[in-house]
Amino acid sequence: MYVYIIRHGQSRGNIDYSLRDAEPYHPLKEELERKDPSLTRLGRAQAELAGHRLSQIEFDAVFCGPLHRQIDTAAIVMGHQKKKVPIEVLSDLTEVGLEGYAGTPKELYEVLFPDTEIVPCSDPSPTGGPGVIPASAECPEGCRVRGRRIVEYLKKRFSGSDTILLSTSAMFGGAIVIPALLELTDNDIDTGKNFEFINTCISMVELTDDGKKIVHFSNDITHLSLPDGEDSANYPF
Amino acid sequence: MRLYVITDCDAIAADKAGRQMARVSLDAVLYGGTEREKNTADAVVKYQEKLDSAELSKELCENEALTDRERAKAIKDMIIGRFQKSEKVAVVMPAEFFGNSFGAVIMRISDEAIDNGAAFACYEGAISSFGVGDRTEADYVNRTLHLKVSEPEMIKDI
Repeated sequence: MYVYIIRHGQSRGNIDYSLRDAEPYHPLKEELERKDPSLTRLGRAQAELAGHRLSQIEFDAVFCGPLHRQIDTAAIVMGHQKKKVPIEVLSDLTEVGLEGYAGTPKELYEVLFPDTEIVPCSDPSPTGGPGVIPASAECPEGCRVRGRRIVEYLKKRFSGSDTILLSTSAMFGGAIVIPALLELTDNDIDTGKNFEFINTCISMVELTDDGKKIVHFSNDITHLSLPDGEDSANYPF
Repeated sequence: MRLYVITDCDAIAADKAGRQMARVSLDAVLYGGTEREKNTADAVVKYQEKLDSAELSKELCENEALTDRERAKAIKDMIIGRFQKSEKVAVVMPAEFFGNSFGAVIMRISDEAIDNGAAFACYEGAISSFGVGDRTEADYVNRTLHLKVSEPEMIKDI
């Protein structure tokens, strides 16, 4: 199984607060925007570039966390895919430290992402669907439990050459998802981030059916910086 | 310290890696004992303004007395002991050695995890960048797009 992990594009939470106010983007109330910031125009452009670069890879399934920036990034990437699969919201993919915030209300999906099919993850386990992440999941061990749960779920559902995309956030992707895919111990993840995650960076980890775990690349953002005249779709990876 | 690992490769890939690395002003380029590693390191130095030559490192050379993992740890210790926080260093090593040993050691991935199959892929001519200090973080691993981009421009970020 090939697992592509993408961090969301630049969000209004990633930039200076004064700039956030200068760039109203969607109709959510400001309070919700603070908890669940949307992508900036730059963040959307970054996601478009990532989607273009990923356009030659055919995903069998696409998952995102329940946050607006995570869903929006997945939706933009999916816009570049020929084979359309629904985006499955996997609440465990949310960012760390949100203290129980459940994510963008489901009722707003159709308003915010009208052209994209977004469904709760069909898995009956606690990873399924948008929901409140228990407070215990916000401690480091809780986050690791979330990470391991995601990996177990993926292993149950996918194998062989199945190719999937996870749209998540910086800390959860770099410090939790990749270490969980590699089955690193807590001691390995001693002081936090092992893998840096930049907006719309793409990482890929292969899990082989015989148990090997291979990082093919991590934090690749070259789609953001190709020389003029080069088309990123010609250089998928 | 910023550590760049470049996996050994043929002359064309080495030239591309060298031109990509030209965006960074390196303080040293180290390589192991093979001709291929030396050639890769020389190609990197060629595009460096303040370096005259690459340096053969005994820690990077094959050593029958050490396992690959022990050698990887010795390389890491040498790098940390020798270079200052502000320095930028490139090391050239065989792709498989990076994939199975050094990549895991520099990221402090335990022997147990390595035995369980955790590894980095081995792409010749790939560039990886690590921030090495109190802790090690991978800025990026196995970046290869510079090998594919048409000449003469390289990708802008590194």
